[in-house]
Amino acid sequence: MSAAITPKVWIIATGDNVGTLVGDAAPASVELPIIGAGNGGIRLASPIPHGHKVALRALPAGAEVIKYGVVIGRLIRPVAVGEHVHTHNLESMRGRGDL
Amino acid sequence: MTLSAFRRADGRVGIRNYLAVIAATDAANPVARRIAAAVPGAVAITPLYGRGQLGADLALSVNTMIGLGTNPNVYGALVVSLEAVAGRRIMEGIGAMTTRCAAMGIQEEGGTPRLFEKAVALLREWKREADALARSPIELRELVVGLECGGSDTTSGLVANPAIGLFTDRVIDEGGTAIFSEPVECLGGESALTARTPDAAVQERIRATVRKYEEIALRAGVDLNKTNPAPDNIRGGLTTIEEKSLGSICKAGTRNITGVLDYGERPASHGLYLMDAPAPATENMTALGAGGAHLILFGTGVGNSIGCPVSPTIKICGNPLTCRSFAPHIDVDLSNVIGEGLALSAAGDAVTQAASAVVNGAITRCEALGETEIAISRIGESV
Repeated sequence: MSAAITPKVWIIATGDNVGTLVGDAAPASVELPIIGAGNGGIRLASPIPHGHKVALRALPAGAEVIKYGVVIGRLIRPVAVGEHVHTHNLESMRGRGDL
Repeated sequence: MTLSAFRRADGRVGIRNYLAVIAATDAANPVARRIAAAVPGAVAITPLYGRGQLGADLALSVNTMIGLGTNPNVYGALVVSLEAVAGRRIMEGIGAMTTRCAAMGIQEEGGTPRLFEKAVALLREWKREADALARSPIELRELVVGLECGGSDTTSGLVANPAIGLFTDRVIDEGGTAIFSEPVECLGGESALTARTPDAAVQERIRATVRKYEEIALRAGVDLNKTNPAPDNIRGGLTTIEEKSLGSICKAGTRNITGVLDYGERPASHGLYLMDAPAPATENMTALGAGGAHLILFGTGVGNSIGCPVSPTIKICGNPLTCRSFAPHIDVDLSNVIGEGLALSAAGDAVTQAASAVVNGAITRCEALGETEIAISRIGESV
């Protein structure tokens, strides 16, 4: 990612509990601006790659993750605010012939 | 938006005058490719199989080849096959819908060298006729727009697909037709789609079409998410099929859904349709092309190079990294939305401009590079 693109967190719909980091990979502890359906800022708990999701608030294991204002899966472990949300802690609730 | 295209005898319009070389049996694929390579404007349609198929599976293959051969962008279709009967069946299906149509069998021609010479001479004659045709003004409502995404990442649902959705809304508002498909990538977004039709029968058909693909994973006893999202989607930040779906359906804009189409089925009227076809891009675009799509708007995130041989395919990307690293394959660079805060409405205008230019004859990256392929779904076994 070009150094020219300031990292920011894009929230798609009001009520989402995750946002998407866009721009340069951001270090933890720097407050990033929130764009889209939100405002203010958020600090990442750990570095997150471009395009990946960040928790907007602390959520318990089993919580539904909301993006586009719609459930996109559930957490298999708790997350802290600013934490990376991806395949290591979020699972699908659809097409699960393995369950 | 000023649009022009070639008007066919039956009133349809074509935005290209492709010469399609269709291999009705896979033994004819190599010579079909050599013929297409020898004549400018010719495209090879080379499915696998074609012998030993039966029942609904055979019908799907035959009807898809006929659909591709009668796509309005095709001026002439030459069907080649090992023996003449298999090719003639496709040729008769194409019939008078396409301006020129012929069939040749490898056995009947005494081998591929003679077939090649005869085919190239015929196609050069068709090309001479097609080159003499002039474009005339058309309206947006005369077009069928296919919607696709591939190599998706989270930017697909933030930028590329929503920008395509703005164009889709415009097509529908002007009385045109758009087809989105990839029903497995509607999983989790069903209620958003069924809310877009007051017709209970259409609502149920949407639900059933999406459920059909979820049930394939349930029956197989596997996690669909191990296949879709694919590894490149996951690298790009997509985690679950629900998340990928909600980004994917942004392509379909916001207008009412008119109905659901079978695989490769032509829409009977104007409006926005969901087509029942598997989601992988090559396979899905084959169904869209057979369904008569004049062009395909293709949203990508981490990059996908493939297009449809009969429907010029426009690659649209909002990931700034991909727009740089994958530039030879990107037609519409929307990196400014993330990079500089360009409004999504302006991104939608950029999609509209690109689509107009391609309708009017501008060559897509897929066309220039020859990155086109087809894959007809198999729904039965060969015997």
